Amino acid sequence: MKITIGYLYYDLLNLYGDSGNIKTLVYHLKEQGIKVDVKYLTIGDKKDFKNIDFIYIGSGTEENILTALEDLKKDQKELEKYINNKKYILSTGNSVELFGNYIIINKKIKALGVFDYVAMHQDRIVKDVKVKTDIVNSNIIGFENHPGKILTYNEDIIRIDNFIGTYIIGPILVRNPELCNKLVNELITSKDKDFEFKETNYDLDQKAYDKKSIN
Amino acid sequence: MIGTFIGKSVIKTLKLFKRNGSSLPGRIVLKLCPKYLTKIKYPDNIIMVTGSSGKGSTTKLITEIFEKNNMTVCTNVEGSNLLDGVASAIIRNVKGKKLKKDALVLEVDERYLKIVTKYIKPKYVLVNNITRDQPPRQGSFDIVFNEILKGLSKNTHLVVNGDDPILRRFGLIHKGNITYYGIDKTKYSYDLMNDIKDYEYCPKCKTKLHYDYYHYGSVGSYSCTKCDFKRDDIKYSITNVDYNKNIVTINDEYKLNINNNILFNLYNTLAAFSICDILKIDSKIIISALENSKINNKIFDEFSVNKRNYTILNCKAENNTTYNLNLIYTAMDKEKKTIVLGHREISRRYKHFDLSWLYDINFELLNESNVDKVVCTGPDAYDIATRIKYAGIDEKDIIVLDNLDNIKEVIEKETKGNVYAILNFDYVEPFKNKIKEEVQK
Repeated sequence: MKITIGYLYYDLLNLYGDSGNIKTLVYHLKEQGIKVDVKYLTIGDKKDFKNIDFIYIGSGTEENILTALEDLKKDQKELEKYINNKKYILSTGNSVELFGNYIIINKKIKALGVFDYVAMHQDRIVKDVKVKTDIVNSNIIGFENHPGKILTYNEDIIRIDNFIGTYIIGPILVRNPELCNKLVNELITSKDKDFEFKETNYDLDQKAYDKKSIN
Repeated sequence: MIGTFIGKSVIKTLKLFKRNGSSLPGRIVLKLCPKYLTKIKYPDNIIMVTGSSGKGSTTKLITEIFEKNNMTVCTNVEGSNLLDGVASAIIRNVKGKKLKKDALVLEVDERYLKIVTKYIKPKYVLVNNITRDQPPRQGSFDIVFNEILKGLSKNTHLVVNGDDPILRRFGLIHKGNITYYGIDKTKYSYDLMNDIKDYEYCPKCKTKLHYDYYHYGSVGSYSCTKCDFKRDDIKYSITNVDYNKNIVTINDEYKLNINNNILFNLYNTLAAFSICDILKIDSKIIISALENSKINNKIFDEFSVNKRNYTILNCKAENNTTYNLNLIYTAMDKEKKTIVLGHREISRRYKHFDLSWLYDINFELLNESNVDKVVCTGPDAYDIATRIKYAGIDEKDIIVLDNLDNIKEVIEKETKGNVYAILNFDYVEPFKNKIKEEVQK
């Protein structure tokens, strides 16, 4: 089995250790004996979404988010098809704003409109997060650092089909081994429901998680 | 003047209690006389050093050169770089209304330049770098850039690192004079850089920048393939670096010995040289002061204990640039080595557990660095160890220690080679003490 990860705007939306999510995904997919191909995609690149199994997109400066938005609009139809086919997307940090209807920063900027929400910029939100979700059993931990707020949704993490969007920045999959393991399993099962899973190693990740989650 | 009187009294009182409170006198005076700083008569030479890293060191280098040049200098205590700290420094040196010094050299926090410059108008502002640093406080480097911009006027002569495209953007906006310095290609420059780059697109036309070489991150020789944005007009260049003899050459002409050749030290040294040459200080004096400087001992230290060589690299947590430069420096040593990493707190300023910055550091360099073991220490040791695992280091070569209690024994018994301890400032002294302490019997 081969899994292709599309790392969107790796050179533009990489503000807060976002590449950690790619590192951990690749590690644990390979652990299951799966071939992994990471496609680094950015401005001007042809984005062949139909040959991608997992899209990751991270945080950027406000200027870079808007640059990425303009570029992504060119592939809007393909991206919508990808999402309608219930394929996987993980969007962390302020990139989550791209998928709503509008981003309001002084003026109203039309976003991709894939989902029905609006991001409104106001005072910067900087906080540790520990939140119960219906995605995994354990609390999801992480950190937020952004000036926006998504109206409509109150949750820290949104899951709509296989789109997971959150303002939590950086290596959320490293810091939450259960979430990473679940995504790896779902992703593999979506391609082969009879896949026989091998043992995993989240030893250090889990110890780091345990220390933080009791605080 | 009443403010001066109050300030001097506070300083005297603090001395009675054997305290050397660095910002308290300033805080009290500004509370009672908010306009105090605007009433002072300042010397003509006012230099402010700002940016993410190396402000303190660069400020001290400039001060040392000025003093060698027989100039008297008023400067602030390292790290006391907000308005209160600046005011305290001035109160200490003021007589009545007049600051009786030949020069005022200040390290100013990058978010406070706009505030300090409301009261004190610098002739020169030096920006060495703007990097990822303290994200919970700073947000992003773009925000920092805009904050610094607010502290500049057309009367400010800006002196900046021209190797950094982020800083080169000042040249597109700043109305006053601007002088660039930089390091030419050396044999340690990289043709390709795999670590995270802060800035990769032309600020004018959004085309991806082309690089002839990199020193680190997005710092190097860049040019836009579509428009005229590029590294050029570098007035002061390090044209050669002799890494074995620790000699650098500036503008093919001036050779100087430095005590370490970590890249940030080269940039700090070059920055101090540039500003002093602009001020027409004799180059012999500049070089002599730079060669005799001891200031780097705080960020760089070497010693041997029980036949093991230790190199201590003081490295602020949350600052991927200093980490990367230290990792590049460490990789220059081709012998077998052990790496020690850790911090007690991520920041003194806030209690957050943002660990994203660990993934902006190119720990992957350790794979090419002949590493025996990586020892991860401190309350976040498992987070650091996880990062090292995902950098590709075998888990059996990663040692995790919650604290420094047994660090000496672990290093001596379980690891091999030269020890490079890349530590946050709050772990530097505790680590050194542990290693140097005699075994109690």
